[in-house]
Amino acid sequence: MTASTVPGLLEASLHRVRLEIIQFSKEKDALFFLVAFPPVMLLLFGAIFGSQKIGPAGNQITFAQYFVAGMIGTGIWGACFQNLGIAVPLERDSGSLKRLSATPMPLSAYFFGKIGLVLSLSLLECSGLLLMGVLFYHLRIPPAGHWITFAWVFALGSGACTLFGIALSGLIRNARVASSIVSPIAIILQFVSGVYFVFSQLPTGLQLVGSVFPLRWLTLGMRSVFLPESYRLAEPGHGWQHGTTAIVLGVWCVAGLIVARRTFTWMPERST
Amino acid sequence: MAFAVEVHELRKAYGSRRAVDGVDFTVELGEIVALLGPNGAGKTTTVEMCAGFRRPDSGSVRVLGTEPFRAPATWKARIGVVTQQTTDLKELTVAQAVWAISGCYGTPRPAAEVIEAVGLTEQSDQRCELLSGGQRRRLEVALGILGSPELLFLDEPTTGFDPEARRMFWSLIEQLRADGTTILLTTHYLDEAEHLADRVGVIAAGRMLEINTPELIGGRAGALSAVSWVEDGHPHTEHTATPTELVRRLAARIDGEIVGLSIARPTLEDVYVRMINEVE
Repeated sequence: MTASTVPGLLEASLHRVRLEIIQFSKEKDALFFLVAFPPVMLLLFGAIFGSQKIGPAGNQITFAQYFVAGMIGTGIWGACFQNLGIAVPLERDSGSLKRLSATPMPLSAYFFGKIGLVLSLSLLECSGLLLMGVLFYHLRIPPAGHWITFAWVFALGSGACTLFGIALSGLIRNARVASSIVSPIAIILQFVSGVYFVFSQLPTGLQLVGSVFPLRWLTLGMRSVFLPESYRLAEPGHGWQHGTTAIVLGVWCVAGLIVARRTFTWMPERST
Repeated sequence: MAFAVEVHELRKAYGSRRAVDGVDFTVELGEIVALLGPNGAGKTTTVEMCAGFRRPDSGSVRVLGTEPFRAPATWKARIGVVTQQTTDLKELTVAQAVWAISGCYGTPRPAAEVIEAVGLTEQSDQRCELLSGGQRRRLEVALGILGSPELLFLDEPTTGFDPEARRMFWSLIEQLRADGTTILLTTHYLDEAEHLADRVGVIAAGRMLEINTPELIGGRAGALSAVSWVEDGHPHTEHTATPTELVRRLAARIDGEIVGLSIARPTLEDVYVRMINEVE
């Protein structure tokens, strides 16, 4: 009939963001594994290893401080990569994406809805962990200049993890297979990316594996924001490597976007 | 434009299997057409090509004057689709689910109105995962008509319904017809097709065997009728093109009431089974 029956992109996207947040809040599994998991791990590791000293002699920090920075990166990783890598194939299998594709909604509104969700979750995660770090683990609130670093690491890191998740959801379309692959990838990479262990103390081979993926650079970037300047001497190369971080995360964004555009589909796999 | 749907020489293969193998038919504006056929006959694939989900390998589809695959949003605003096996929105209530999908339309029908239209008002605040199979399918129809579609695709809307739920569903479809909605539906149920459809298309092995009114399909009107009666304690059945003439002769021959008299015209099922058997 008329074009007025087609919703505007902004209007539809805001609707999708609200809907995504409402639906996410009703999923108990996801709430636990993606939202509660990082703070719970922080409390556990803080209690077990928290007071161990690490870093360059004379300027040592506690492992708890190191771990908070890593967990902030992991919170973003879970909210973006793990969340979408599992949720998008489920939505495809359930016919949800097929349904949307038959409506006049601009299809990009679906992705803006997801972006709104993962950014909300990531910010919630970051602020919760930061608050815990400051209250319990002597994490200092970073000086003003560091927030600029935080902003671009957060933007590029969440972008890379989001696009990695959507790209993977196009490559692994079966929901059951996807959840049994995405979670192990998410957890194994936490081990080789300097989250649970000090990155510079990992065997070189594992450091190399970790360095291929965005999580290692996301956590490094967060350490550069939240740890004392002197800690950079304990990192490989004795520096924060902001340039490399930006390049690797940027490449993941571009590669993720290209793969996602080529592989994304709205239709469930045919069962017959 | 007289036709809502025009399909010509439509073909679609999945690997080496020809799911749709040269289908032709049209649906007029305001008409209800039912596609009948065994599992795997190509009904769903045909409807999915009409609804824009799949690109045909060859042949042509025009729906409301437009090629459906990758059709613009303005076209999608004019159609409604109810597919099989949709299981999303489970954690939401019925009212929330309708709200969720109404955001896909610029000027959706009011949520309460479509919920009422499908008879789910009492279940408005119930979570969708707790709905019965029939209620869930009615919710799907509610979501399909949110955009006030001119043309509605219904893929096996009543599979798994109990008879009462199916009757309720039929009156819902009749209401949509009264509002002027054109409907293309697929079904396994012959009584459903006969009850709802202006015309019935029988699809088997990816081909449209015939599309005609339920009364005329498969040569039903001119087919032999079975006249049965009991005479001298023995049951008799005779197939005849002139049942009236036969009954007149029986009445002349038998005194009083003819015991066990019945005249059975071939049912849609008889015709359908014969048509399918001829293909296989």
